[in-house]
Amino acid sequence: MTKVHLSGVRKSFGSFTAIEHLELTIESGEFVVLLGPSGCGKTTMLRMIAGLEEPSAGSILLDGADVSNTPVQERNVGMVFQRAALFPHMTVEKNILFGLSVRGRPRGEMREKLEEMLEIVQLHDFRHRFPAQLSGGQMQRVAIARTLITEPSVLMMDEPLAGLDTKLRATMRRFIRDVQKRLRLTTIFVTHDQAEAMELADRIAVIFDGRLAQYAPPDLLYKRPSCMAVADFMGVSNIFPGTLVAKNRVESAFGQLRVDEQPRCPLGATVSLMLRAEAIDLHEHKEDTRFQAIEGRIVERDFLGASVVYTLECGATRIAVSEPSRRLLDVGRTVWLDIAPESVWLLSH
Amino acid sequence: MRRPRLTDRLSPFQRFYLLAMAAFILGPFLPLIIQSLAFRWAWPDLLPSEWWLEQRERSIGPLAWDYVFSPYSRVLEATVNTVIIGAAATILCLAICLPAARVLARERFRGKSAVEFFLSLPLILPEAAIGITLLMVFIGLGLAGSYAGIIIAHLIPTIPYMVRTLTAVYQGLGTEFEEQAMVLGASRLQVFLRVTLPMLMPGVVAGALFTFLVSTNIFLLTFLLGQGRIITLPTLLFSKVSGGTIDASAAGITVIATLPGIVLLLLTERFIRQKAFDGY
Repeated sequence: MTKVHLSGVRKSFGSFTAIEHLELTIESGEFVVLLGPSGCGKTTMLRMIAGLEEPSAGSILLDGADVSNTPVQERNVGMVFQRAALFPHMTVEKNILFGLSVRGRPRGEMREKLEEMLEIVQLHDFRHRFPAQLSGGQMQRVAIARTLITEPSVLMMDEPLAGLDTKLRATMRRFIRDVQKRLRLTTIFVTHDQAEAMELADRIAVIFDGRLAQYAPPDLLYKRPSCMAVADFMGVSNIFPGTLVAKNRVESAFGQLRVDEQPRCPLGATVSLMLRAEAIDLHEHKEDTRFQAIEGRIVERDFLGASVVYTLECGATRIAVSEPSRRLLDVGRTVWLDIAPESVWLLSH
Repeated sequence: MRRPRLTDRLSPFQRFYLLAMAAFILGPFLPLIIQSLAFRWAWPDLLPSEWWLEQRERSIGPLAWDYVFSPYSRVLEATVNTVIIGAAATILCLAICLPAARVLARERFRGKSAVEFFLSLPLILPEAAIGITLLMVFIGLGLAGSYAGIIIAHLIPTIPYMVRTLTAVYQGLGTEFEEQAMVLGASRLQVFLRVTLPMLMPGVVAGALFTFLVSTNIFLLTFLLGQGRIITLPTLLFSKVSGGTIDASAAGITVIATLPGIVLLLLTERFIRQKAFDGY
């Protein structure tokens, strides 16, 4: 259980600045996901915390102690690489024991901990196999066990699930989350997959171009993105221009909408109106609407199994609405859109 | 994994072709072995008219294999020298080329292409030119006629091959294994001995084998720099055949000269198979 603090960290490679003055605190036992498009600097951040890169400026603190100049071997952090990086010439057992063996720990202790790790990652039957004889998921589990056995103060993972298929990724996510909760390990996980980030994280740090764009719990990030870039990256489907005409009213392409009070935006400000596709209710009759009634015509229907996504035409604009697929509305039909004031999020310019 | 049997796969033509190749490579050794057992083998006899064993009792001095194994032939001395020089050159060559290959494979720096060019120069220059130049320098340094001088000279034609082989294996080895080992707490030495070296082993064995074989075959450099004081199997052999005739003892020494390479190849071939394919 270690608190990680990055204070004013900057990293440049020659004339290229990978990380720009970064302030980030990860509480002990917290699961933080660094999320951003590839090349945004998230891997560099991880490598700096691990000690594989040196920050050009600023410092890295583990539990308040500056480790910026501590060599990687002495930081006692754990790192799981994208392609597992298992040593191909060692069996599963030897791979897992590597960290203890280089520290010269006694044999008895190594045996004991090995059994414990094999139990956690459920790889008893594979202990004498070589990495080439394992599946992708098993390899990542070995990599995780190899890291956990050294009892790292911080567990870092750099897109560990990138090479796995969808179903296995889901299983591995649950596995990682379970292990993290059980051991109450401070964990930093890097990914460019926002769904993965939301499932795993206590807090998500969104990184764009070496800058921290937003640092918030998944639900907040999803509902209240701090800027257009974050909204876009989190996959917001409906963004419209609007003007704040009253404290709780906004003028938009489909008339005036009631919104929650927006203390951050001055009256008359031009704003972007963000509507989550699943936060809009569709009603067949106008009388059923509770907040506002906007007329729309269904022009497209995409059936996705559990949910169905409609594209509606409201006047000159198009809007996406998603709802559970319990009922299916026909294309061409006119319906009423109902939007709760609290589910409208405004971004000021 | 079951290996397919050769005969399951090959067509009669392919089998004939393989046999012809084997005959072409191994064929010349047959007369050599016969010669080493002969006392008199004159044209146009298909086999020697008199064999060494027939003459053994009558001869005053040692004949053929008796001569080869007698102290007069200096075969033992030459073999020991060949192996010592070959082993020392191989170890030194590895020690020089491992760090060099690491840099060439992983770093980009100014003048890299020039360095790569200079590394292949010994392959272009005639061996005699290298030998005579070195001799001039080594006489000045007092290294002529010494083991050290010969070992250094043997490094020159072997380094280009070793560097190339090791650079290729280093390029295939990503940096993440070494970084992973460091994060897990391994010191630089531990990373090298436990991770890097084992992973490079197929390339190291191939490069070392090649270096040793080249070194045990070098005649001109050894001849020039040994100044007759240090004999190896190639120089011994050349002194035996320089008269233009090949008698039984010269043939015997030739057979001996092929042994270090064959023994080493057999040893390492097993090693490479085991090590390289166990975990990969």
